[in-house]
Amino acid sequence: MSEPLLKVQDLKIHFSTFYGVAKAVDGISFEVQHGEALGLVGESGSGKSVTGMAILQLIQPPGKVVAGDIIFAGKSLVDYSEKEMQNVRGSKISMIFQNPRTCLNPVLTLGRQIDRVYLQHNNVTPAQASEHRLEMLSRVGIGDPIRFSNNYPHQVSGGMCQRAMIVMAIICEPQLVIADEPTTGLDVTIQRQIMELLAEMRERMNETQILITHDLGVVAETCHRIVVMYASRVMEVSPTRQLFNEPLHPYTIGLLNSIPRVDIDEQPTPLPGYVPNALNRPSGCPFHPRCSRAQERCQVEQPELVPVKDGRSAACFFVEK
Amino acid sequence: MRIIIYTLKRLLLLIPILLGISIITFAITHIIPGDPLYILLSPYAKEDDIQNARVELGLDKPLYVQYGIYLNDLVHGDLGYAYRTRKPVLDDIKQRFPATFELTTLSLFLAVIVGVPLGVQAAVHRDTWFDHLVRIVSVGGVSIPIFWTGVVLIYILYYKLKIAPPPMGRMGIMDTPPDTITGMYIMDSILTKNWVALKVSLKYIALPAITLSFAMLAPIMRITRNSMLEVLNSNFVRTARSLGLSKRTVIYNDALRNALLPVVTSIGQILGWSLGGEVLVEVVFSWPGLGYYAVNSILNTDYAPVQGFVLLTAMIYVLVNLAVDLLYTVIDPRITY
Amino acid sequence: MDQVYPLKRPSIWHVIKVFMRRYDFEIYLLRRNPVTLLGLGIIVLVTLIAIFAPILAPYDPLALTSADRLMGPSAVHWMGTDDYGRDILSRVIYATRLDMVIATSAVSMAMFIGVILGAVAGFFGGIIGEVIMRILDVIQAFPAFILAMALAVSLGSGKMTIIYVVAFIMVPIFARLMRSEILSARGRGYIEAAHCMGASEMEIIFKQLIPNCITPILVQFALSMSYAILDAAALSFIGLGIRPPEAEWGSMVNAGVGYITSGQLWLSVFPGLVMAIAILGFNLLADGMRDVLDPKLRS
Repeated sequence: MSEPLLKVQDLKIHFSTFYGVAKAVDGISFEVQHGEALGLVGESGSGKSVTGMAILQLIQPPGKVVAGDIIFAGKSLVDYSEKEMQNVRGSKISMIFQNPRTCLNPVLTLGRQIDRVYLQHNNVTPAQASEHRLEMLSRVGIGDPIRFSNNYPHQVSGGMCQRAMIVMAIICEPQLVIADEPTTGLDVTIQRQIMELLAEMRERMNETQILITHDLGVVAETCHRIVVMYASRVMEVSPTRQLFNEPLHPYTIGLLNSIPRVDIDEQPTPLPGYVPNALNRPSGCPFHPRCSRAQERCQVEQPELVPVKDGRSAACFFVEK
Repeated sequence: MRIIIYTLKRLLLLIPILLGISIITFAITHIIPGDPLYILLSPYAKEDDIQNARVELGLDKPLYVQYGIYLNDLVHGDLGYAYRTRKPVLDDIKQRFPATFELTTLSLFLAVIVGVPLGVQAAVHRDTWFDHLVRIVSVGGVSIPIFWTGVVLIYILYYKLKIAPPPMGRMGIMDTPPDTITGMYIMDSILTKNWVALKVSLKYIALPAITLSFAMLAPIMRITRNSMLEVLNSNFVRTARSLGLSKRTVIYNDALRNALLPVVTSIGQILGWSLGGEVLVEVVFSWPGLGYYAVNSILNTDYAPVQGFVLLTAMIYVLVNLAVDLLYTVIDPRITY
Repeated sequence: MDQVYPLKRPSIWHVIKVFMRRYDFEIYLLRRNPVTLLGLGIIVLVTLIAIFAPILAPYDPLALTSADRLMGPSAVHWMGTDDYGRDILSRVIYATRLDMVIATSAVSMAMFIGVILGAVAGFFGGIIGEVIMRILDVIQAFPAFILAMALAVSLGSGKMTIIYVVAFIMVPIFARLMRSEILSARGRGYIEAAHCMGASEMEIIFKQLIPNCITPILVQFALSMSYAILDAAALSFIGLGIRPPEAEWGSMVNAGVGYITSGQLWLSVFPGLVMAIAILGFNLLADGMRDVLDPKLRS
C-alpha cells in the first residue's frame, strides 16, 4: 500500500474548563488514502468536529492539542509554523462547515469572499481571479454566476450559501477537503444536491474527502471507508460495505440496530443510556456502561484499536480476530 | 429610492417627538412652582406693573393658549429674549454654536481614533494584561467625573508643567481670532491661512478636547471590544481562518467591519451623553459655547436662553440619532427598507 | 434486552446540589474577576462612611475658622481646609452621606416607577402601553443631563429637587428594561410550556416572569447608582441643586475650581477623588454582575 495522504496518530485534544479537563479527543488514530472518501461518524460530542479543526491546526483556547501527530503528505502539520499553516489552509486542505449562512461574512459579497481565497494562494490578478470564480460557480451548477457573485449571503438561500462555501473550499484545488456536517441546516431536497455535488467534485478534481457526520445514511452512499467514533475515541474502522453487512464493535451494532429499516420487518432498537459527558468519561472502555457484552475487564482496561481482518480494526476485547 | 422614502417616513415620525420636546421645554418655564413673573420682574414691582406685564406676556391666558403662542414663536424662529445679554436668544445661540460644535466634533474624532484601535487590540489579546488595562481605563473613564478630570488636567498641565494655556476660553485676550467664516477657529484659521491663529486655537482647545474625549473614549472602547469579541467567535471568522487568510486580514477585513456596526449605532448615544459633559467642560474651561451660556443664564435666573438651549440640544440629539440610523442602512447590507 | 430506567423524583439534596453547582459558577467568575469584589468592598466602605458620618468626621463640616483658611493637607487637617477654613475631610465625609442618600433615593424611586410602567406596558400593551412608550421616547429624546438641568431650573434648588430630577431621567431606562424583559420572556419556550401545563396568568407573572426580570434590574440598579451620583454632583457643580454651605461632592469641586490656577489643588481634588472612587465601586460591581449574569459569556 502506498503512503496515505493523511495520518492521524494518537491525537489527544483537551479543553480545560472550570469543571475540569474535557478530553474532547482522547488518543485517536486513522489514515486517509489518496482519492478516498472517508466518513467520520459519531454522535454529537464524540469529538469528530474537533478532529477536523485539529487537522487544520485551528483549535482555539481553551482547547489544546496535547499529544499526537498529524501527518499530511509525509509532513507533520504539528511542527508547522502559523505562516506555513496558512499556506496549507484553503490551498492544500480546506474545510466546509455546517450552517453555511453563518459561515459567510455578512458584509462582503459572495464574489469577493471567493476571490480573496484564490488571490491569497495564487499569484494572479483580480481579473483572473474573477474569471476563475465565474467558471467554478458555473461548474457547481449556478445559473447566473455574475449575478450570484454580486449578492450578499443574506440575499441567497442556504443551499446557495453552501455552494458558495464549497467553491471557496475547492477553488485552489486542495488535495484534502474536510466537510463537517455539510448538510446540517439545509432542506432535505437541498441536502441531496449538496452531497451529490461533493461526490462529483471529488471525482472530477481528484480530491480526497473526509466527511464528518452523525448520519450513517449519508456515509453509506458516499464514503469508501468509515471511522466510527464514540466518546472521544475510535471504536471501529471498516470499509463501508463490510461495516453495514457485518458490524464488529458492539457500539456499531447498536448504532445500526437503532436505524429504522424498510427492507426488513423489524422494529429499531435504540441504544440504552446516553453519551457520557466529556468531562467525566467512564473508566476502561468508554462504551461499557451501555454495552450488552460488557464484563469486568471492560470497566478497568481500555481496549486498543487493533486490526481484525480485511483491513478492518476495532477497539473491543470481544471481537474475534 | 427606497432609502429616500424611508428617510421621509422617519422625518415624519420626528414630528410627534419634536412636539413632545417643545411641551417639555414649555413646561420648564411655565409650570415652575411660583409665578414666573417674580423671576422676570424686580421684587419691588408694584401690583399694577405685575398685572400689566402679565397681560403683555400673555400669562393671563390659559396654559394651552400660552403653549400655542410659544409654538407659533418657535416655528417663526423666535426663541425669546435674553435679558442678561440683551439680545434675542437665537442670535446668542448662533454666535456660540460654532465653539460648541468645534469642541464636540474634535473630541469625538479623538475618542474614535484612539478608542476603536484600543478596543480591537483588547479583544484580540483577550485576558492579557493589555485587555485588563483597557478595561480599567474604560471603567475609570465612566467613573471619573468629567469636571474633575478637567480640574486635574488644568492643575498638572497649566499650573505645574506650564504647557497648557490658562483655562480661559478659546484664545487669550491678546490673541486675534481668525476672520469669521464658519465661526470655528480651527477651520477658519485654515481657510484664511492664518497659521498664528491656528496654533493658538489648537493650544487652547487641546485641554478641553482631551477632557471631553476621555469621557467619550470609555464607551467607545468598551463597545468595540465587546462586539469585536463576539465577531471573533463567529462562524465566518472561523471560515476565513480555515481558508488560509492571515489572522491580520481576518481581524481587519472580516471582523472589524462587522464589529463596527454596533459602534456606529452607539455613537449617537455617546454624543447625547457627551452633550451633558460638554456643558461641564465648557464651565471648567470658560469655553464660550452653548453650555457655558446656558449655565451663566441659569445663574442669572434668565430662563429663555435655558429653554432655547434645551430645545436645541434635544433637536440636535434627535437628528444625530436619525443620521446614525440612516448611516447604518448604508454600511450594513442586511438592512433594507 | 430491555432495560428499564425509572424516572426518579429528585431528592431535595439533589436539588440543593444542582443549585449550589449553579452558584459555583458565579463564584468562579467572581474569583476570575476579583475587581468585582473590589467594587463590592468600595460600596460597603462608602455606605459605612455615609452611615457613621457624624462619628467619623473629626470636625464640624460647617464650622468656619477664618484663621485656618486655605491650609494644605496636614496632620491636623488631612485634606486641608477650604476658603472659609472648614475642614475638607469632614466635609467630604458629610458629602458622602448626602450624595449616597440622594443617589439611593433617586435610583430607588426611578426603579419603582420604571418597573411598574414597564410591567404595565409589557403585560397589557395596547393603547396604554403605546402611550407610556411614546412618553418615554420624548423623555429620552433629550440628552439626560441637559433635561436634568432644565428640570432642576424649574424646580428650584434643594436636595429633593435633585432626587426628583435624577429619578425622572432614569425612569425610562428601568421601564424599557422591564418591558423588554417581559416581552422577551413571554416569547420564550418555558412560558409557553407553563401555559400548556395549565398555570394561571398570575402564577406565570409571579413565578416565571418576575424572577427572570429581577437580575437585569439589579444590574441596572448598580449601574444607575453610578450615573445618579455623577448627575447629582454635576448638577451641584453648575450651581443647581445643593447650595453652599452644605457639603456636597460636586459643589465642593466647584468651590475649589477658582483656586486651581493658583495651585491650591486640595479643595477640588479630594471631594472629586472620593466621588470617583464611589462611582468606580458601583461601576465595577455592575460590570462584574453583568459578566456573571450574561448567559452569552457562560459558554
